[in-house]
Amino acid sequence: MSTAVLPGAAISINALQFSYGSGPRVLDISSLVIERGSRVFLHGPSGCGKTTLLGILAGVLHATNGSVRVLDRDLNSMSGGQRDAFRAEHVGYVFQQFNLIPYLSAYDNIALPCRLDARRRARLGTVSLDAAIHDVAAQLDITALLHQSATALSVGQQQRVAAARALLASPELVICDEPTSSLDTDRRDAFLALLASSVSRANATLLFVSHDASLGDRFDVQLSLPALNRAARPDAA
Amino acid sequence: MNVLLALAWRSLRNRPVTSLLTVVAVALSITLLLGVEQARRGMRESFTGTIKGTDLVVGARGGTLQLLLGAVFGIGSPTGSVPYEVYEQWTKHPAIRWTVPLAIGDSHRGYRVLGTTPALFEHWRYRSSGTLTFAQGRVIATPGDVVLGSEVASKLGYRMGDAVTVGHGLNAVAGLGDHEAHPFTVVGILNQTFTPLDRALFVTLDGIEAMHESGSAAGGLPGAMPGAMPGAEPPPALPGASPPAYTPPANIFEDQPRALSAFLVGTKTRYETLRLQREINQFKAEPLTAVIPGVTLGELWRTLGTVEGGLRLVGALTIIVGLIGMLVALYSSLEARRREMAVLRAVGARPAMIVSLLVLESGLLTLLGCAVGVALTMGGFALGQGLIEARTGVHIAVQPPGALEWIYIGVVLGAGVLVGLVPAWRAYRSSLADGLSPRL
Repeated sequence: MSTAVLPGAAISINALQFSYGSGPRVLDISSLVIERGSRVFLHGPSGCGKTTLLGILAGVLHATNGSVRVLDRDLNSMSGGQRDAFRAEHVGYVFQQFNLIPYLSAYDNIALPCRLDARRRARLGTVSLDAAIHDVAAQLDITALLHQSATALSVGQQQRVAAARALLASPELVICDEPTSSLDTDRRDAFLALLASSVSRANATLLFVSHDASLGDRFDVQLSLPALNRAARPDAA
Repeated sequence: MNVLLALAWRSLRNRPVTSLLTVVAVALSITLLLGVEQARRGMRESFTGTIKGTDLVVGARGGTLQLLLGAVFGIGSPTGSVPYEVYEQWTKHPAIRWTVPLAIGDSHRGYRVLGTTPALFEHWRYRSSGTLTFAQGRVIATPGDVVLGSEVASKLGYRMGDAVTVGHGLNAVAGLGDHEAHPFTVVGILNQTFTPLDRALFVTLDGIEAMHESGSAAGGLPGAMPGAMPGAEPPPALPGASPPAYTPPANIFEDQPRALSAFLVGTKTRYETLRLQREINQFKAEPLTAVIPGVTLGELWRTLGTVEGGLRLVGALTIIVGLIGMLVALYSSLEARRREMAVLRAVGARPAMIVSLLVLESGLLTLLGCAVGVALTMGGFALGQGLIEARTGVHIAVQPPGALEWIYIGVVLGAGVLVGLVPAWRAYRSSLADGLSPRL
């Protein structure tokens, strides 16, 4: 087992430990490496620390101990503001549900990361924001929905709008936290297909987390969080 | 910042009922606060503006406020009467530049009748330097002449040359106690001044005298006021104004046909004003009171100050209630918005942006409330102006908020933003604790 931090990895975790305040240890991961450009399935039943790990990788939570490198940046040595800026620029995030700001249209929801962060916007280069939105919307087949209110969309449509937002301006890392658990099988498969093709076009690294192990076959790499996380084992608490 | 402003605005519009009610609450409290201030300022300007250029108001010994209000503003009754010869004596004083005699006590269909001289039209000043101007006609000259204030002419529909009969006593009902034997003829109509003069009729002192003489000559004239002394209608000094004990002897008409309620004095210099006031107040031969209008109005404002302070306090408390209402609305919405905050965090919003968003929301609500409040205040006075003037005789000019009002508005805006910090702080704390997964 290698403890070396590989250069060029999208995600590289070493001896990560995390607790909420002075509470019990939630995460204890000795090593996790995800290569750039790979599409990774991380399997984990609820309560095994998935969302906490994603929060750390997104830079919202701060590891208690250990090293967390994302896209060759050491998140642990960055300030909260720097991590926020880092996430805005480099990370796309899709939640399980309720991904959208209810009072904005689908279009404005997709535009939000680029409007909030100038460097995310700069990733578009010479392409206009409007053109980029229409492009990503076409990929996810939501062009007709762009000017509808977020609350008028079905759950499946909302998830596709959220994926479009996560993919806009091609962030290097896309994190999906159970994005299909509120979709039925047909919609789930359609969503996964659209997501996979869009991530490939964007050359992004995809970290897809789900409790549903049957989805794992569609990804390059399958990981099991309970196997990685020593804190989740009953005898480790 | 523009993105956040747009977000805040859309967020508020997403909760239209709560937002609207909050704006209305803030607007109404601002309206109350500004309304009190506007009324206060308007009233002061109206009173002060009515009697510019007059240095002293002189009347029978009595309360200074009663004298000023009764003689100049037509509120209540003057302090008593001043014998005409005493007035004449004072007009010769070297410090005096001009005088205007006033005989008050008769009325015409609810409007005050002033016995005076043409000097009134020459010397009366209102507002900054406004002099009385005639819409039609000329000043009073003969005992049969009457000049009408603008409102008297317009409300009662009088035109030049119409006959006007005058009743005795300020509250005389139309037709009751009219001096029918001595009708006056309208010889002039004044332009509007927005002062109590608009609601007055002006006749000569001779006219007042002739009216009362004709009344007494008739001996218990038909339509005389109930309870009027038979054959001895009181002299120009009025029943309402005189102390109840004062019953002039019947022969006063022959010996001393005239008495005044008060007279206005213009002095040669300001210094003379103070000296003359002291001199008149110490005059031994006749108990007189001389007041400097501005000083006496100052006393009135001090008296009213307590009331105004109370109203202001009520206004301030209403503002606090309004802002607490906003706080409750924003705070209680937070629970439902934790998801939204997590989404914003996920797309890159810093915690400071979450704080800014909520502060912008409270700031926008307060700003809208203030804007609506200012509009309501000015609109309210524009609409209510006529009613206030008709009821109280005070003309309140509609004005944009003055310096003090702007300070109030600024303080309220600042308080609104501060109030926004409370939910903002909580959202900040919970967004840090929640990360991307609010515990719902």
